[in-house]
Amino acid sequence: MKAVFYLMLFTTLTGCSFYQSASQAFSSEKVEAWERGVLARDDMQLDADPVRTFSDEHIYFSKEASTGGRGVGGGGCGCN
Amino acid sequence: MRKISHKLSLATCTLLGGAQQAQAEAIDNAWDLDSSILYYSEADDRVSVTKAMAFLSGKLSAKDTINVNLVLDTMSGATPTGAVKSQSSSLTSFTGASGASATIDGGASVDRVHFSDTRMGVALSWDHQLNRTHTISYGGSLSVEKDYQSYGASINYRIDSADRSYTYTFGLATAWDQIYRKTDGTPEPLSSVEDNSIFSDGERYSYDLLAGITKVFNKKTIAQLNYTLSYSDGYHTDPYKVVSQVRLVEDSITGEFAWAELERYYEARPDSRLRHVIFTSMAHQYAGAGETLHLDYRLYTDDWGIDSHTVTLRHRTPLSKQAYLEPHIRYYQQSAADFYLHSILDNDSSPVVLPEYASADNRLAETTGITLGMEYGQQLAGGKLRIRGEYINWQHQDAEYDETAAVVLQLSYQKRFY
Repeated sequence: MKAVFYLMLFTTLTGCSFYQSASQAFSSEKVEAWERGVLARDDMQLDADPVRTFSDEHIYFSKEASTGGRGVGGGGCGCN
Repeated sequence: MRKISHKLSLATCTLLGGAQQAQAEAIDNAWDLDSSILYYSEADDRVSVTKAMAFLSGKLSAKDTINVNLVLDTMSGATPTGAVKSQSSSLTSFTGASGASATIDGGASVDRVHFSDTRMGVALSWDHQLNRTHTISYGGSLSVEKDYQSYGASINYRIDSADRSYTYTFGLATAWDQIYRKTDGTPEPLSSVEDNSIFSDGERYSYDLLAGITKVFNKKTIAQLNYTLSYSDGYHTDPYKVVSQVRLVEDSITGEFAWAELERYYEARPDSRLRHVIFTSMAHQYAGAGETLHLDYRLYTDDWGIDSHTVTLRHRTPLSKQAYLEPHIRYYQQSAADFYLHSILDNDSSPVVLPEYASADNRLAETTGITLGMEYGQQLAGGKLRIRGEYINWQHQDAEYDETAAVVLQLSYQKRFY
């Protein structure tokens, strides 16, 4: 019973903490051009490493039944 | 005296201004080269691939950028055919579960096919900025290997909102693929392998439509939502894959039960496929300078009965101003295709009724995949060096080969030339 209580407490606290972090991350505000220093960083690009993304997509395309989502175009292959 | 100093300052300003302009032009004309070598190797002496890549990007003018991607793959190894695994010689003659006796044709059963191939891929794209907020991109691609050719074209249109809080993306792509076996065309679907009934080369046409929105939430968070609709028409079957007709038998010597293969057919897949993909991605810097979190989620469904969920998480921690470490985890789960089967069961009914479509390719089975990886990045000689290693494990349900495990090693170096 005690274990269940602690598990519930842990879940609630973790959930709250996650909710707080998530709401902070997605808080919406107008960002001026001169405030985009962080957003302009290479590691903040949604596709931070196109060569790595291309390589991964090729591997997963070859081994899994689902593909796509990030963009269209680029060419296919008859991968084993 | 004042006149001379005024002239001198004017001359200095002119010189500095000229230098700045020259630097700005040099940056505008910068070329970026990212080169990479990747090694992929599966356990159990299965597939291994060495992939060499060069991605070149350069400004042709203030409004035009050209991208050239070159790929060379060298592949070899053995891949499961879909047939049940080779049986011991003592099973060439057996007693069925129902008590009936039968004999299998002699000779070793091949459940894996050995291959080696080289693939060359080229993709070109040209981005043209129409005005401050509208950009159009034209793309073309070509991929050639010994048993497959693919030609593609695409057009993407991007609109930034006036305050650049939103970016709307629309994409259209088409591809024409030609599929055949190295030795001949394509086998007749669901024909007996022994019959060796060969058709001409297979052709497939694909069409993709994408609509996406990217939003800047705040100074440290950006996120994207894409929807892709894809339709392909034509030959979707794998010309190398087969399906076994089997019977569960007891080994007369060991007393163990095993699948015995009675017949072998080429697989057959539907001749069209409709896919829907919802993809979300976000990047967030959440603590101090440089700690970045990337989280992606993809929901996929198609009319073959495959639904999948993919979650990818990366977390970059700076080790210094010059170096970082980035652990990576990916979880993938897919349901089986409607026509996926382990084998066609022969339960003494004669003749066996074959389904309309059938494939024993474990990539169409219910699958769970886990990827664990680590990347190290370092500024080096004015460029960016990245080294990464990953372990991937797929577990396939109700498949003859129920596990695929692989390691990936990649070394990349990116440098900008002015």
